[in-house]
Amino acid sequence: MDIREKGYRHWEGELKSSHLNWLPIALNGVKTVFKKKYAKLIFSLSASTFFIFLAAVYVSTKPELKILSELVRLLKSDAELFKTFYANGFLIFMLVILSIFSGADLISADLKFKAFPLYFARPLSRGDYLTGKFAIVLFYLLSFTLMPGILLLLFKMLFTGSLTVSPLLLLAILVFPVIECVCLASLTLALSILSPNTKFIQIAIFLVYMFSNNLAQILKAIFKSDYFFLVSLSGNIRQLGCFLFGVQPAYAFPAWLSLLLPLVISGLSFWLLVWRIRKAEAGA
Amino acid sequence: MNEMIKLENISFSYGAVEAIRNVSLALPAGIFGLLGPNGAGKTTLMKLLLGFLVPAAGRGEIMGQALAVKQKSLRRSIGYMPESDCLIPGMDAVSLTAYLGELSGMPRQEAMKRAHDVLYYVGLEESRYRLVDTYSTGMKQRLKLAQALVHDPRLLLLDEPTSGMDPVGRKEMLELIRDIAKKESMNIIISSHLLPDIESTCGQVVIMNKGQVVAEESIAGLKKDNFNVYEIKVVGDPAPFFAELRSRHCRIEEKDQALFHILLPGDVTPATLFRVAHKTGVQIRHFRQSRTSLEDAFMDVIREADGH
Amino acid sequence: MTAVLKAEKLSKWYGNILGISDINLEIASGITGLLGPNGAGKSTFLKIAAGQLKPKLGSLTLFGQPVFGNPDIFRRIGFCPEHDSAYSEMSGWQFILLLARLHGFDRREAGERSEKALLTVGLLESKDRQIKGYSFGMRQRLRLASSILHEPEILMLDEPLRGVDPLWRIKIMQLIKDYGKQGRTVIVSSHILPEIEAMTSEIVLIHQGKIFAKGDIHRIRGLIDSHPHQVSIRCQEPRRLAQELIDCDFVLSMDFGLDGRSLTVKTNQRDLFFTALIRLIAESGVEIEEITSPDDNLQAVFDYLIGK
Repeated sequence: MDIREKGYRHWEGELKSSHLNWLPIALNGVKTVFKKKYAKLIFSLSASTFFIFLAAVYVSTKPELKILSELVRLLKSDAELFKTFYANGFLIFMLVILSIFSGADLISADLKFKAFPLYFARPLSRGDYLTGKFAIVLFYLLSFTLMPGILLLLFKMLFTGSLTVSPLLLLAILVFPVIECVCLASLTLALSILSPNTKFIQIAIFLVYMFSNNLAQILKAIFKSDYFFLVSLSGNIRQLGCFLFGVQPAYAFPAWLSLLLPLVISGLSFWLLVWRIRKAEAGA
Repeated sequence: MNEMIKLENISFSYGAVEAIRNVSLALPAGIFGLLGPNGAGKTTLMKLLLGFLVPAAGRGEIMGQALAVKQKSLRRSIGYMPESDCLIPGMDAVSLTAYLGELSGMPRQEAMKRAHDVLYYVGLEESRYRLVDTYSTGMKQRLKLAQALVHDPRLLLLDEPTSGMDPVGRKEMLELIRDIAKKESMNIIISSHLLPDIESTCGQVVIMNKGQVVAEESIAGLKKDNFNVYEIKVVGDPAPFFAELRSRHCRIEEKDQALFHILLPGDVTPATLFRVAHKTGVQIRHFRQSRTSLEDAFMDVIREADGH
Repeated sequence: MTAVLKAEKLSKWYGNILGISDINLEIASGITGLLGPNGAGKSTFLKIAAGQLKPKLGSLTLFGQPVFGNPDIFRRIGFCPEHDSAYSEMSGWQFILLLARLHGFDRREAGERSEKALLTVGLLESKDRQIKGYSFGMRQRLRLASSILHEPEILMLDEPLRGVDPLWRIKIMQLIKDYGKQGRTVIVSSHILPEIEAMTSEIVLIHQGKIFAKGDIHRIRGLIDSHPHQVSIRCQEPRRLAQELIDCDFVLSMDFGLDGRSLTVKTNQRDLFFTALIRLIAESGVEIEEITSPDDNLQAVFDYLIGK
């Protein structure tokens, strides 16, 4: 064997161009979030409602069991079951926590530590960067909404022994979490790009949630109109759930507005992201 | 393709401020220093080459690929070492370097292997598993070089590579750059405020001033030889030595730090200097043809460009 | 030599962390370069000398007076710290004017001095711009202006040229050299060894909290026995010279350059060597292009004393 050459060595491989440029960002981000402190705690809490509902579904097929009978009585119909699961207050709260946990620092850390020159010197478009980051938040949010939803459906079919499911219900089970999570994720990212101070972003997201709820309630109390619940984050989600699952609306305003609003918010967030990321790339 | 970089009439403005005006450049392969006063447009030029900015006018080609059109594929062959204190926190050096290598288009495992290789190369082997948040300035600089090299680019853009490093680190960084430069098919552009750094690594420089390129030349060409002027340092009593030289019509000027400039008339050769030194018992410990320093050459170029 | 600065058994540490330990030092007027690796204790020493830190043990006096807690002496000291600290909402002019007034100058004189200081560092045109709009190099120059405002007798500069462009580096180095010629005392700390060399040949080398060397660079080099001096001779017939030198026992080793046109000799008796060399050149008539001492410089001193 000859002696290994000293000094700088070339790399013999070939660089591949790929349509999945954003994938390494997403994978890396998901791993990073998973390794954070309190991750297991937050995930367990977020999954807790799923397990309660799972138990309820099981119990509903075994009328001889007397536990959780209150809950079971409430969940008479399938639509009611899924709507209540998706729109329950605790889950919504945990979704906000998840957004903060997985998303608040995604872009603001890059702003603070000036990582943009490192990223954009790569064959990475602005869209790739945003897609990758978006996928991280979306992954975690969907994991605790869409996935449990599908699992609930599957377990229900298993427990009741019947494979029939109304197509509208199926559509609602899939579409609702997607709209909800896309909206939350885009809002989180949009806030994350606004400031290099992560603590600030975390507080901002939490305040949006809390403040919107309280504001809606105060305005409702003053002006006696349910329309103000459009302002509230959880109010909207609840109303959207009612709309998609064909259940009695929780508030007295046209339920389709709660479909429109998240789409509008998502749209605005995307626009903000695209605008700000251009500045970040050029200033890099 | 002869030219590494070819720019034709490139212009760019930040709003109303014209940063680069009608710049045309044709750089062959090699190592170039990029020099200029603040605001000359060096940073803007680098950003244009990387595709961070799109030229308002003009066209360009880097290694045969069109600027601002083939930007993704160009970035595959360019490695950038930014000046700013940049970092991706929460990762160790290997993970970070491999991650960036993957983003450049390397398969994951190849990126990992190569990350180790380049980290060894830049001298971070003992700290490569540590979180980069804990790195000192010198280590961060080396890391920045490593991530610029991981995908084996054909063109390296180094922005203030020795910034913030202590004398040991500076020396090692410059040695690394010289070593990389020895490799065929490696092209390097170094932007720096430190003329000694540029001089010890580059053979050619591009000097910018007020948004234009005012010189594109080899360093040797910039530093003109002063014909028949020699710089010397002597040990021993110089008085008789100088007296004898003066009697032969040599002109002697004292520069600082015991350095003298001697202008020899046409009929006096350097050999005479040594003969006279031997005769008068003086040791010539330093002897060299006098050349303008890079500092002076640089100032001349800028002064000329400013129209003084 | 009358010492301007005198440190006796000076020590400072921060909890467990060592700053400097048992420093005994005297610095006279003129320019002294302060150098050392990162974390060596240079900044600690300068801050104590400028009265910003209190010594833990020992003493440091300027003009015979202690510095810490002695505000009167600040009139005679100018300190340019390493880190940024200016009110960024102010304009450069307002900031310097404020400092001038704080020095005790009346309105008119403060205005004159501020203008002069800003002119000297080239910030007069940008004086009305807010400091937060200044580039890094401009802020550095502003800090320098604030330290020369009151034309102090002692100037202490911690990395004064960081981020400054080549043009202003040259001008400021000239300014510092002029200060030295005027008989003031200047202590400059820098990592850029070629620049220290360009300004002075008196240095203080700090490492591990202690003084590793102090004095003239060349004299220090002469004292380092472990590394014999290198002398490099470029000429047409190096081997002919070598033949003559090989029998001299003060020639420890000889190295022919790769291009066959130079001869590098190692010797620990330069006096004998150079006498022999000059005689040899004079008698043999070999045409000499260059004689240099490649390791008689600050980088070599630094490497030999500190490097691993």
